[in-house]
Amino acid sequence: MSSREHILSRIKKHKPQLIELPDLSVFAHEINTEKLVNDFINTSTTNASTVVNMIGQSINFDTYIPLFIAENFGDNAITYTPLNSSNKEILDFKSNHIDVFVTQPQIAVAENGCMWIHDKQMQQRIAAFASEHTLFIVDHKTIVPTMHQAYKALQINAHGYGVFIAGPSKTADIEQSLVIGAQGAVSNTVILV
Amino acid sequence: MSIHAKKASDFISNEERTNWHDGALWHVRNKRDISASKIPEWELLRSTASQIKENVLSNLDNYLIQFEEEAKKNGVHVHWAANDDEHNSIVSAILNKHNAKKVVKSKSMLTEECGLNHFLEDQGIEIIDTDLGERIIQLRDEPPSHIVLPAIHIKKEEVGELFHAKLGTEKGNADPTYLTRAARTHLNHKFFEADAAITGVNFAIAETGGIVICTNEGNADMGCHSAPVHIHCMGLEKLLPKAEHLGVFIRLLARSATGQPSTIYTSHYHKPESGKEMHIVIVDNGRSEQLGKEDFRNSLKCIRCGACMNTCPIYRRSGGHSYHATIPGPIGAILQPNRNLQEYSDLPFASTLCGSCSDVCPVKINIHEQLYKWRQEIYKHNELPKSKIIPLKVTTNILASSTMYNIMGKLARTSLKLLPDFLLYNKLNTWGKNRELPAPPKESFKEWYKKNKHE
Repeated sequence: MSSREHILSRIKKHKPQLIELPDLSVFAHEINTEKLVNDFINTSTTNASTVVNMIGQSINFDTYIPLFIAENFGDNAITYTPLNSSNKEILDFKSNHIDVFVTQPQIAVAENGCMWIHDKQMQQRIAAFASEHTLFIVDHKTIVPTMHQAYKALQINAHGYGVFIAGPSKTADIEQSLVIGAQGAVSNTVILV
Repeated sequence: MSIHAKKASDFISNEERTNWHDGALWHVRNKRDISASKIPEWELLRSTASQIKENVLSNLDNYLIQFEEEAKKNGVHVHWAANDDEHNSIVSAILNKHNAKKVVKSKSMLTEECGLNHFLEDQGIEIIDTDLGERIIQLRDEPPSHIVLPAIHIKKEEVGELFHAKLGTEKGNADPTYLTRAARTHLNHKFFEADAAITGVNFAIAETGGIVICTNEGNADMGCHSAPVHIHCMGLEKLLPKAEHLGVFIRLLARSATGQPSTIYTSHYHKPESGKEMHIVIVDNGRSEQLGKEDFRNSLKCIRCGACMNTCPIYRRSGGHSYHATIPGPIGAILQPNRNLQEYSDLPFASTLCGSCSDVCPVKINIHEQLYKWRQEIYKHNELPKSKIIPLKVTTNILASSTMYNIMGKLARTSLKLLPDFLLYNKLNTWGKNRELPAPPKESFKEWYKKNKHE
């Protein structure tokens, strides 16, 4: 008997009587746009993200974003973005330093600042992690209260890979001292539109 | 003296350090409380999570079959390992197939349990732990002392010295930011050199065949996305039925662990990136046996948040290494005896049975009750040391007879008062170690009650 069969037969023999799954509809949360936006700004800020609130202002992304990057990350900052990109070449992140990774998450979560991005919004998965800084453009209408609503709205396997990112990478592994910038991005900026 | 007692006694010999360790963990426990109190439906989340996990255990074989089928459809290679040896051989075979000599690994208690690092190192493979805390203890050649905070027992000055010796940082510099940056640069090279990446798994989804990994540092993703092949090792109890169940568990995990509302990265892997290879190793290693033990199967619900460690008065003051086990603390003390009753028979006694662990457990494992049940199992299997058996027998006789009880009570009250210190405070009386015995009362409650019952 293979290990697979052996394991499965032992589980079958040992498992208890079937217990039903609980009802998840009990986790309902108020949808109040103003509160969602405020909560999202608060949780993101707590997670050490910089939030720029541009809600209600008409922006021309093509000019605003490059200007924003130049002002905040330097005139020569190298940007990587799958947005409006016709360049499908695979970039070698080992030999190419990227300053800013820019994308537009599909969904954002008020309770914890999580923002969902998937393969299409990254082009290359490593980009969201190996770039020095991340910059997310979040449409405030995509903010949901909690992870329950997020998973309801998403199809986690619509793409081969998807990730919730809630801020810059961090660690407190040395004496519980919080350090922003561990192995992933060292800063995260959210532009709320 | 039991191993735990011996190691704990070594740990507390440095009082200042013990207090520091105790305080650091209590601080984390506090953050958990603050975070949980902000969620009005917290208790509902806990009971829901508990029931989901109970459903999983009661239908585990079917969920595993479904998970495998879906994962294979996604182009993922699925392997089954009955025990630690088989797990290590599977991983090693994958690495050999790819001629992988340099491997990066993100935190995985399962690979610790299986002793993967040493197994691979013996074959000449370089394996680098990429979580900062894990890297610190790896460079010190030590096991983790906590499942979420592996280097919680180490002071920054010690990390400074270690990094100076191993990574060439400035001598005497113990600034956490400076040291973290040095590790970032060091690990960045390792990620891009790696031939393969290995990770643990926080959750696996039967419905979609995908796995979820939670980190703050981004190290699991850096590894998986830079190496041509990634291997995910999971205990077979990690399954959840559907994606929607993740909502419950992601909300609970980080809040229980460190008080954060979620980890910074919650990564969902379903398919490898084009041109790459993805493997999942499903590991039993005693879990399917444990499932058959009615009193103890509940411990398989554990999601490895570490909340029970942070709250435990024994863990905080004895340190993770005193448990001489992969998983320390209260949850370790009920998981380890399943593996080897003889070797870990001391662990269920490393508890005051105060129940705080059960109170904070996000999936409502009855940890303190299981600790108590393990004590009975250990007695039944004759694994109790003489130092416990003899006093237990004597106490049984005393408590069984009211005459004996009255006499012994009186004797104790008198002797506590009259006996010289060297008889009270010596090696044989462990209750007199490091503490003053209480002042004896003049009379027993029974005597007092007799005198006063008519008043």
